[in-house]
Amino acid sequence: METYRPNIGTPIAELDTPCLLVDLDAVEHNFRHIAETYRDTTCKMRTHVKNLKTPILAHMQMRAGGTVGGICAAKVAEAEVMVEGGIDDILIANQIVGRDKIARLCALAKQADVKVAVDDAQNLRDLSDMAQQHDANIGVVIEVDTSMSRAGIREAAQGVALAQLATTLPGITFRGVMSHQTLPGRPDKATRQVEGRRYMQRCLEVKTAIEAVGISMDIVSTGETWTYDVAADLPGVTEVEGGTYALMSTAYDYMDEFQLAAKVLGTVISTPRPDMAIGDVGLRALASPGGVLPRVESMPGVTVEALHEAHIVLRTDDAASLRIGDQFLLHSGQQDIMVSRWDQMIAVRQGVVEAVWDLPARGCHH
Amino acid sequence: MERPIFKPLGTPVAELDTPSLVVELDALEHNLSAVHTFFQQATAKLRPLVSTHCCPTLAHQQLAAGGTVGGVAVMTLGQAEVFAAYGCRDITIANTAVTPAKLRRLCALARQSDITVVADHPTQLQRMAEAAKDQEILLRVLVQMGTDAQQSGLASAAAVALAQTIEQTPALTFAGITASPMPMPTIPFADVTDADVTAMSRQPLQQLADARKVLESAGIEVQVVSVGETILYEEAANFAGVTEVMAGMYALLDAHYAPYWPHLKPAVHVLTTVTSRPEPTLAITDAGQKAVGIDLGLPQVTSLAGVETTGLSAEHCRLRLDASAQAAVKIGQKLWLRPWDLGTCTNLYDLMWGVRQGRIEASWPIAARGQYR
Repeated sequence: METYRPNIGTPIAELDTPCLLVDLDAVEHNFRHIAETYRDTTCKMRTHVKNLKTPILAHMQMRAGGTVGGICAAKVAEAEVMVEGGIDDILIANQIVGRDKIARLCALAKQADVKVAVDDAQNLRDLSDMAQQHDANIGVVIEVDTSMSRAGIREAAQGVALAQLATTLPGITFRGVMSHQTLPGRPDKATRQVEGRRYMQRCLEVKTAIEAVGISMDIVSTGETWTYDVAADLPGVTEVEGGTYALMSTAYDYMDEFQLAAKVLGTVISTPRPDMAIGDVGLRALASPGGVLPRVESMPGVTVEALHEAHIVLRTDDAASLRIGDQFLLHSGQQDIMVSRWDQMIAVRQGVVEAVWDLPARGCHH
Repeated sequence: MERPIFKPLGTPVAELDTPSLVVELDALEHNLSAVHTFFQQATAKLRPLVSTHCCPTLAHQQLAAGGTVGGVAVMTLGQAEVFAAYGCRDITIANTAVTPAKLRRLCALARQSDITVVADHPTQLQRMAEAAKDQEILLRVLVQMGTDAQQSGLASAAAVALAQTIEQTPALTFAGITASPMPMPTIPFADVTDADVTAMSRQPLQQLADARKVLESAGIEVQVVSVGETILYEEAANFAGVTEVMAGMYALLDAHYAPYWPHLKPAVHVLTTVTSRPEPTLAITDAGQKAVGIDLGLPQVTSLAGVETTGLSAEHCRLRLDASAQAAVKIGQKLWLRPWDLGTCTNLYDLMWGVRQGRIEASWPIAARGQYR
C-alpha cells in the first residue's frame, strides 16, 4: 500500500515520483459543466464511482449540482466504501451473485437506498430470499443489453417477465431499467446523437413494454460519458451513469467540453541516447490495456515509445531536450483502470498541492 | 484496499468470495524445490526477484529454500522499503535514483540494510555521490549494461568508464555489473519468435562475461555479475563469470512463462464467478481488468475445457463457450483464470490465499503492491 503525504503547498516540482495527480481546476470545470447541462432537465447525473474510487469526488459533483443525489458503483465493496463516506443512494450497475456477496448487499441495503441490476430470474429469487433473511429491501433495475454484448436481457419480453417476477417477490422493490452503451472510435457529435439515441431507445422499449403490463417504474438509468448530452434530451430517461467525464482519458478527448484531470507525474532517470529518455513510471502504475500508450502533456516532440514494468521509454525529436531529473506528465487512455492501481491521489491547483486524498475503494473487487 | 470476506483456514476454496487471488501451495513448493535445488548445485546463486509477487512471506520462503545469495531484488525503492520492513536485509534495487527526495530515502534505507542500487549514467553517479557524502554513508552501485534489443543501458566501454568513476568516488562502492535479457514484457509487444527470444536471452550473458574481463584487466574487482529475469536461468547460472541470477517468475509462474519451463507448475490463479449467462455461447464473470490486468495478455480459463477468454472490460470478463461447455457454465459457478502476466495481476490485490488440496491454508499480505515510487 502506497503512503505518500506531501505537505499542502508543495510545488509539483518537489514531489517524489511517480504519483497520481488530479488537477482541481479541470475536475471542477467538469463538475460545473454537468451541473449546467442537467440544471433544467428531468434527467440527472448519477456519477459512476468506479472511475473515482473516493467519496470526496462524488460529493463534489453532488454539491456542484445536476445529480440525482446519488451515485453508481460496480461492486458491493465499492458501494460499502461510499456508504461509509456518507452517500446514501447507490445503484450497483452490476449483477450481484453468490450468498456471501448478496448478504453484504442486504446489510448495506439497511443503511442506504441500494439498487442492483438483474438479468436473471434465479438471481432475482436469490436476492429476495436473502433480503427476507436479513429483513432488508433491495431495489432492482433490469439491465438491458443495447450494444455491449455483455450482461443484460436481449428481448423486451424477458424484461417484462423479470419485472412481473420482481413485483411478486418479498424483499424486492422493482425500480426500473438500465443499460450501458458503447461506440468505438472517435465519433463526432452528430454520430453520438444518432447512435446514442438508437441504442438507448432499446432500453426505453423495454420500459414501454413493462409499463404496458401495468407495472410502473421510477428509474430509467442509461447513458454514460459519450451520451451524457444525448440522454439529457431523450424523454423517459431519468438518469445518466457517467464516470469518465470527471477525470477524463485520452480515448474521450473528442469531447472537448471536458478537461483531462487525472495525470501521472514522472521523472526522467536516464538518458541512454540523446533522443531517448527513461522515466520512473511503468505499465504497472499506468495501465495500458489493448496496447494503448499514455500521452505526454505539453511537450512537443516528445512521444511515448514503450512501457516496461517499472519504466517508460520516451523518444524526443530534439536531441537532449529531456535531461535527468526533468519531470513529465502522462495522460492515460483508460482512466479508471489507471486510477484503480493507486492508493492515493494528490490534488493540485496551478502546480501546487492542495490536498492528498486516499482512494479507499481501490482494490474493492468484491 | 481489498475488502475480502475472511474465511476460516480449512474452508474449501470454492467458498472464497470472488474475484480472489489464489496460490496452489503444492505447486509453489514444487517450483521452489526444483529451482532452488538447481541453484544449490550451480556456480551462480539465485537472488529472488520479489517484485513479481510483492509478497514478503513468499520472499522469506524463497530465501529459506537454499541456493540463494541470501538477498532479494526489487524494482522500486518503495518495494525495497517494504521488504526491509518485513525483515529482508540484503536488497538489490534494480533501478536508479536521481531526485533529492528519492536519494534521501535511498540513503536512509542503506543505513539500515545492505542495499545495492543500479546506475547507467554519470549524472546518476554524481547525484548519488553527493547524497551519500551528505548523509555520510557508502552506497553500493551495480552498473547496468544494455542490450541492443532494449536500446538503453551501456556497452562495455561505457560500463568500464562508469566503474572507474565509482572506484574514484569515496562515497560510492563498485559492486559489479548487471544486464536484463529478453523477453522483458513491454508494450508495444516485441514481435519475436522463440528462436529470437533464446538468442536475445543469450546475448547479455556473453556481454556480461566480456565486460567482466575488460574490467578485471583494467584492475577493477568485480564482485557481482548479475543476470536479470531470463527464460535461460539454467544456462545463466552456469555461464562463466556470472555470480547471480535475479529471477522471480519461477515461483508462481504465469501463462506467459509457463511454456518455457514445462518442469515447473503454474501456481497462481484468479478465482472468478459467472454473473451473467445472456446467450448460449456467452458467459460474463466478475473479474475484469481491475482484477486481472490484461496489459500484456489475456488470462486463460484452466478449470473447464471449451471455454475461451475473448476479452475483459474494466469490471467484467467475457467468455466464449463451445457447445460442450454450454450446459456446464451457470450463473454462480466459479472458474479459475490463469493470468498472462504475474506482476500486473498480483499488483491489483492486497492478499493472496494459499490453498492446498482444495482447502484454504494461509492468507499472505501482498505488502509491496502499489509501491511505484
